[in-house]
Amino acid sequence: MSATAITVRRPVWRRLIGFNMLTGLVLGIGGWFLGAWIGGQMAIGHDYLVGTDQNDVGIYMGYLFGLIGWLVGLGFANYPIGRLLGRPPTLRHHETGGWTRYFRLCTDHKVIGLQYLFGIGIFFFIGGLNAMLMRTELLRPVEQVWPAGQYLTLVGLHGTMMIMMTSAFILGPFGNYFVPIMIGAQRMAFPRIEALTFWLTPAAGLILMSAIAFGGIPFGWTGYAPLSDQARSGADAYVMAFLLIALSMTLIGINLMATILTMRAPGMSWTRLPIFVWGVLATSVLMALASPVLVAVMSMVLMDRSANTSFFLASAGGSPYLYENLFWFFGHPEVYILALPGFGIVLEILPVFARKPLWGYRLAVAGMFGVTILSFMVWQHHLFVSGMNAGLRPFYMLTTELISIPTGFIFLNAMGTLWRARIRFTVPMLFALAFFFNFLIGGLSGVFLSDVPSDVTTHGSYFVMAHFHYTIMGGLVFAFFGAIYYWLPKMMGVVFNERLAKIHFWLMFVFFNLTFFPLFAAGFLDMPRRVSTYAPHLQWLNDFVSASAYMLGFSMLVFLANLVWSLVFARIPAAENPWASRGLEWQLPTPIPVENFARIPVITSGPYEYGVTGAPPVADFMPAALPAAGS
Amino acid sequence: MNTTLDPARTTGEPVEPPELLARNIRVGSRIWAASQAFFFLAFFFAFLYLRALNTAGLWRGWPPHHPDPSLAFGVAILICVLAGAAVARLSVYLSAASWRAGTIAALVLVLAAVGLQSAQFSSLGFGPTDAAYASVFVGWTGLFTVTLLGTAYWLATVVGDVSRAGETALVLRAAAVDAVSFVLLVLAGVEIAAFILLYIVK
Amino acid sequence: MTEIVPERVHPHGWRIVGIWLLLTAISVPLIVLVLGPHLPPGNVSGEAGGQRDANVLLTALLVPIALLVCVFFVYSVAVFRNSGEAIVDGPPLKGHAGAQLLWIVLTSVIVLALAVWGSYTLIVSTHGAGGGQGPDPIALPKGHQHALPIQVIGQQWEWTFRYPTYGGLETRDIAIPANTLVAFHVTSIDVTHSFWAYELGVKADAVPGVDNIAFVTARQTGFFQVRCAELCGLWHGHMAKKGRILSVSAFQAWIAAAQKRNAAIGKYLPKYNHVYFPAPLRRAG
Repeated sequence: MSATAITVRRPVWRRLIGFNMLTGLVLGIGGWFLGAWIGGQMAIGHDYLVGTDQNDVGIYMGYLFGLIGWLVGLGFANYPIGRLLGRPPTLRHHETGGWTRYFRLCTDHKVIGLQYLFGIGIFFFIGGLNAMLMRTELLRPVEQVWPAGQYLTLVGLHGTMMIMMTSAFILGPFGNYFVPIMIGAQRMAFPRIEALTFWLTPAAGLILMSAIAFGGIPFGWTGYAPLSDQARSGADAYVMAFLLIALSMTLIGINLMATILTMRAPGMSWTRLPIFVWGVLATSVLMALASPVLVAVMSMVLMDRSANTSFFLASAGGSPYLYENLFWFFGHPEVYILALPGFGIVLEILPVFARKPLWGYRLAVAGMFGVTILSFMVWQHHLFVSGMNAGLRPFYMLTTELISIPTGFIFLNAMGTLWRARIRFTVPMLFALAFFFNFLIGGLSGVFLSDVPSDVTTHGSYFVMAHFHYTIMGGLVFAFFGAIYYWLPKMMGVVFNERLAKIHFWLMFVFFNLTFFPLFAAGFLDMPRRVSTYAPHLQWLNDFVSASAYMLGFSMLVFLANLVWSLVFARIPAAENPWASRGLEWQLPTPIPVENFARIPVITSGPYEYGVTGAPPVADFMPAALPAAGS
Repeated sequence: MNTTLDPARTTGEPVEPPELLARNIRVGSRIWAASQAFFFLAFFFAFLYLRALNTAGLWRGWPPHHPDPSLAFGVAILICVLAGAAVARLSVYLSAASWRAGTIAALVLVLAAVGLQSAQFSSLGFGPTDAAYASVFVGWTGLFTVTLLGTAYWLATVVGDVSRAGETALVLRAAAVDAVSFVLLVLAGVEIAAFILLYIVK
Repeated sequence: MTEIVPERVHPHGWRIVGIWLLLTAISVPLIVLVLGPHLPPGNVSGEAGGQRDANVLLTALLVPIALLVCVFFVYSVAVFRNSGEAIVDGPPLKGHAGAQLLWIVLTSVIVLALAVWGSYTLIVSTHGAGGGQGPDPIALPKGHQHALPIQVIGQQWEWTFRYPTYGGLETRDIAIPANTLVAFHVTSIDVTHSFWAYELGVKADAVPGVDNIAFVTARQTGFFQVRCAELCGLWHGHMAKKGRILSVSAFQAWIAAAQKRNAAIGKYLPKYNHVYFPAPLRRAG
């Protein structure tokens, strides 16, 4: 890549032509129609067989060809074809250039991090909008705004957007951006795979949203099988989108794990690894091992719907239990995929603003890996009343309750870190503290669900819904916003308006609790999940929740306004280390150079040595001799 | 042409030692193999679970007609996959001169397995609609073949690497052969499980 | 670990424990005595009572734990704050083996005790706690051989009930006799539903091809609410019914009336079976 190629300014229309997102969209849409036609030819009469006017084989082929077109248009085929034609492997590609690199295949992990931040942010806001529409329907106990099928599609889209599209909510933006920097590396282990993991995400999101055109996904994010086998072709979009996201999750897990295992700078021993990196490592283990099971179960649904296999059809020898087992074998690790990076973030933020070392570092690591291992052994607690393996219920009760021991470690770390600290109440710190309050309620309400007699009352009710919103929204999303406020000065080089940020925090914290705490009561009072009609005596409760939910939504608008104001209008440049943090990433200039470190640094001290007299600086950035990286 | 390892290339980016790339490939391939093992674990579980439940007594299909895949094809595919993995893996432990022959032989064997599986599908005698066993059979072997095909592409790039020996560092070529052969080894393990369950246990 | 001796030693730990003990002493009696009797799902059946006891005990146990963490956080936030503008480092405490060990031991003891207690109540004292136990229940109440079987069939979007003891009588509304052990046999003929009899404390998934059994003994006459607790398609929210708990004699009269009403259509019904396999599923087009 010569320097002249960058400096020549071509007209904008000329820059649109080439391997970029626009080409990807054009080829993707073209590929959809080609594939749908080919699939229709392959399976003439399938639409008659399944009793609708929709040919699932054609739709699947359409998505497949559309995906291929999207990836080819982005330039993902160039390298493999080049390899086949004999071009040698290269290290880095397409890393320089102006703003256009955010819209094409770029292998710079910092670009991918920002792509993830905005890409997933869009899906997060779509999911939030779905929630607002659902709460509007629930203002009255009868159907009023949405027909039943559309309401259920909103429920499904909200769930899939929030749980599956945002599986990499923290790993995508902050894992990709900061893990290589925090371990003193110049890149990720597999940069092209890293780019692929991101560009699969918008493809999955577009495919998922196309479900609206094919009859919606009236079966929630879990898509229990006989129901999703039965649904119209919107289910094909759900299956395809989930497949792609699971693939993306597997790859991001492999990539991050390999990066952390091999690319640590010299001196970055396991006990000096920032706790966020530990969280990412634990999460990537889950992603690399649990997501393939999701790929498998989704391909089974795909075959049930297109090739008429009968994995999940009891009337043809299959079993709905198979779906429930396999789905939750992935699904329970998935909720820890969402929670663990949150643990990492808050434990990363706490020492910086408590001005104390992280208390009980090894315990925190043990807690994270304890959760990782146990999360593979608890999945049947989603199925306590399903009638499968009744004899195993005490075992799953035990494992589920055991998981609160390592989770408790994280709380002890936080309490120890706050003990006799010098706390500064910055916005990231507020979010981190709120995380612990919310996750405390979320975690303790989970104990009700782990106890079978109590679960018989609460299973499938709004209690469950309130519980996992406390852990995911109250945990993950609060950690996510904490991370945004903490790291955006480094990522974007601008500071947020602090007043607006604090308004955002207090609105979000107060109305989050006012929205979801009453829903525990709704669940106790016999309100099942995913209903658009409910008992009339619960209307006042639901109206209260809806009003709070609107305010919660409004707090997100405050955040957006702050983001736009700070990023576009105010543009107050951020200091290089505004929080006086010892994190390696804060020692770098803003913006961070393409290669992160001119030389691989030698790490000389841990990242949390606050108040330790005589602690050396965190790293030597200009070591005399170029050391062997990764040793 | 050699843009990777030419220290004279002055793009401002530092040249990474090939040992690092080699280790990335080795570590990444182990995790990738684990991911694939978990993927097929789902089918392993599906087989045992549906067989144990035997809902409506339809595990082996509707009574007069029991799906019965040809054992000859099964053995042939098993031999191809096992031999491919063994050849690729053995060449890792031999000298660098044997890598080319080893990977080419493995590629041929893997492609032969794909071909044999396709031939079996065209003369299967039953279809995916023949209840639970047929579903698992078609799903497992079908997706295994897709995985083999993807691995065959990877193998082809490794053949290219070891053929143009002068262009990549020795450690990189060693890592490439090691990585792909390790994944093949895990796939061979999956194939053994598939053969035992799908052809013998049923 | 280098402990920097502060200028003035505050008894922070004792204050936190004191506040926590005070709050616990106030909240736990309130939970047990005031809130407890109102916690769901009430006391209509033995199983519901068992669930309510579990809810009361868990609330009374978990609220103090939540209070401990909250008091610690609130106290820390209020007391250990950096009031000035300058950034001041705190004491470099990196851990305390005793505190960590104590925490691990305490949480482990609580968790193991909960698991043992939960298993005991599930298997021994409430006989499955009203949850679906599948076709081969392991927690069998006394006299389960003589339990009154009632089949619950879920379909999109209606519950139907069959009484095999009364010739496979099929009804659209449900009544059960009080003070009699009832065995619900829950199944489905299309997609997965979940039979939720709220006041009875019964919840059992209705899965096609599965005979999911849940035991319950109602202690008094009255009504119970039936809902579907697993998303089953468009009118999932409409699968609600009022069930009746009748005295044994009233139940016999209700059965007799239903038999008389259904006499004409009885012969068209499929033979009573634990599971039904209708024609393959068609898309809801």
